[in-house]
Amino acid sequence: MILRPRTEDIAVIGYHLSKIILGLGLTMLLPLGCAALSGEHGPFFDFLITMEIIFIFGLSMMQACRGTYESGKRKAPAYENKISALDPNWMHGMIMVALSWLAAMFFGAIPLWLSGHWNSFLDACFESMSGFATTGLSLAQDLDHLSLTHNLWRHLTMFIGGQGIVVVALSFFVKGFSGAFRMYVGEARDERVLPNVINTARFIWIVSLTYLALGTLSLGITAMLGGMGPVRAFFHGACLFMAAFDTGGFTLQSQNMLYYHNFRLEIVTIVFMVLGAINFRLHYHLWTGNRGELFRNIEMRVLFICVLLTFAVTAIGLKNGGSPYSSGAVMLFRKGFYQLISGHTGTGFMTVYAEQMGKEWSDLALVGMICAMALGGAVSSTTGGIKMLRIGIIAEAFVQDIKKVIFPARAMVEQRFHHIKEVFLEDRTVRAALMVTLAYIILYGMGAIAGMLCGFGFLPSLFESTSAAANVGLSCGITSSGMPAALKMVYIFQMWAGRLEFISVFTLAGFFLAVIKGKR
Amino acid sequence: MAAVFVSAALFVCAAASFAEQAKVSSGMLLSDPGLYDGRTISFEGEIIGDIMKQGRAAWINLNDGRAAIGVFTAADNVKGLSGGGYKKQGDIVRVSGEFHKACPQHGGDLDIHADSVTVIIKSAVIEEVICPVEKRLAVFLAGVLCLLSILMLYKKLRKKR
Repeated sequence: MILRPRTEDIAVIGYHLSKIILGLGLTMLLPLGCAALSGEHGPFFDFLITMEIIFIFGLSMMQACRGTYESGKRKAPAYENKISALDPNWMHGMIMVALSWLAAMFFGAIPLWLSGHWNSFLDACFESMSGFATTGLSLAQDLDHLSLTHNLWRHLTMFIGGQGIVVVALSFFVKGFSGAFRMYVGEARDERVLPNVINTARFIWIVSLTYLALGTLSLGITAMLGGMGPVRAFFHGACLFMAAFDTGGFTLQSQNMLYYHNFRLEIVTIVFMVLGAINFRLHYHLWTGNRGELFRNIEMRVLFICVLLTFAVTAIGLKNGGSPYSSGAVMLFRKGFYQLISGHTGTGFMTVYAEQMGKEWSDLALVGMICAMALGGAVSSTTGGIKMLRIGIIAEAFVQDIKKVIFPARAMVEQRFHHIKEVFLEDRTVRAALMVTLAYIILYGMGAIAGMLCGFGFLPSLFESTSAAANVGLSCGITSSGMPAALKMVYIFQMWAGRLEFISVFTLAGFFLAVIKGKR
Repeated sequence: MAAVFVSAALFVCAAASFAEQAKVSSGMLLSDPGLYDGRTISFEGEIIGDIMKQGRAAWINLNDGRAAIGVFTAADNVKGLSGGGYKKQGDIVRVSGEFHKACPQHGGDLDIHADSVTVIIKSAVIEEVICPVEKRLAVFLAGVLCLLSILMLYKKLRKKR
């Protein structure tokens, strides 16, 4: 029997959700300040209106839910801890996360839609979800004439989403409470860097802000060496860093990375893309001097092997397809390897036009790219996809099963792998890895079918679907403002579900089912 | 008779030179780059963003409304030009030069090596128009927010008493 959620459940979810929404509103102070400083009056009003809407909605929701929350606390039995009686449980945490991402998409779309550079509110929602989910697929019109303010917001959504909307809330706006960890896990971060989840969230921000300073400096200088003026070079540098480290892939100009015609800039972005694809726990070990972990860690080893294999497939595909990019090492690196590492890390920076990729790359080259995108980077990083730890666990499980067959029947076969520490391979670990992998494969397939139903070919549909669901952002030409609205909604769902790794999305679906069909 | 032959020959040469320097759009270049690879073409568009000077050479990016294409040319050709952005239309220029589907000099970039850059329309500031409805909405919402904040404060103070 499905139990219908109580009013108190909705109040707990709504109360904490309103805090996250208000926090999101506060982040808009940055673009508002940028608009004031740069004299962009139209964008100033766009963000002012959005902030006002967010605060009115958030405060109203908080008041409404607090009343029920506090009456629930008064009704709580005396022998129960009154705070814990209404602290979020697992269901509350998961639903809050799922809803906060939808709320972020909705409110984040408002200033974009008001700018007039998106053809519809759905297009603006697509862009907003693409930013927060660090995908990078874009439906912007006339991007080259978009204001600095709106461009800053697009890149900020990636910075916020890459670290995690809930992580932002836990770091700055939420006092410690027992539900914090449940929310943290709901955002597809099941690894704690530090024992306390609030400290973990704050560590993630320290790392990100430190790299932001380094990244802005290095990318800004490199852009200046490429001929840009200093102010624009450092503004571009900051935005490119946010897109690279958060493996988002938005750029300030319509040509993506081709705009810069700068090989050195491409090299520096590769460094930050790879850094963004590394587990934050590994960053902690690197920062504390344990560099050996980089070579012992199962994720780094699997990432290295996967990049080699997928690049080999892509390079052979380019050669066999007669692509000019295979005619020299530099070209192969700048066009073949750059796209590959951009896809594998889930960034989505492109040094070729989307149309070129769709029409000129052979099927084998596209398959190599699809595999790279589908696999993704490390867990607890800014990237998407199935992730290296799960691939490593599945590979170790295969080795264990083969050993069980080969070794004598009475032999005890124990398989271990190194992930920060030595870990024994258990059946439940393998099961969890397989379940999420299967869910991703189904999501990729579902999006491919949706693309084919809209009239696109199999391989381009699979490419675009994988790009959306694995939060990559590479495009072979399907993503455009003219694509069917149904396909836009499918990709929005894929970006959302892929970023949250399903559990919180399924929990939300179950919650709505319980509201409709549940009994008390 | 000789005059007819000379005229016909001149006409054929002129036609050949026009065909050689085809005027193309970004759509044509991106949908079939192989057709124009290595050929001298003429391309028109607005300079967007930065003019990136690298010693004696410079990069500009021209957007013809559909897509932007990178143009590599001598730095002298872009003196006094400026790119467009928010509230600004950049110089609209016509470039003439060799098109590369995958430029071997520039790591495989799709680009045009322009011998000449001719300004067609000079850059201009675009007036920023703010919709009056937006201004009124901002003021109205500010009023609602103030009222809500006062109500919440009143409720909080009443609870304390």
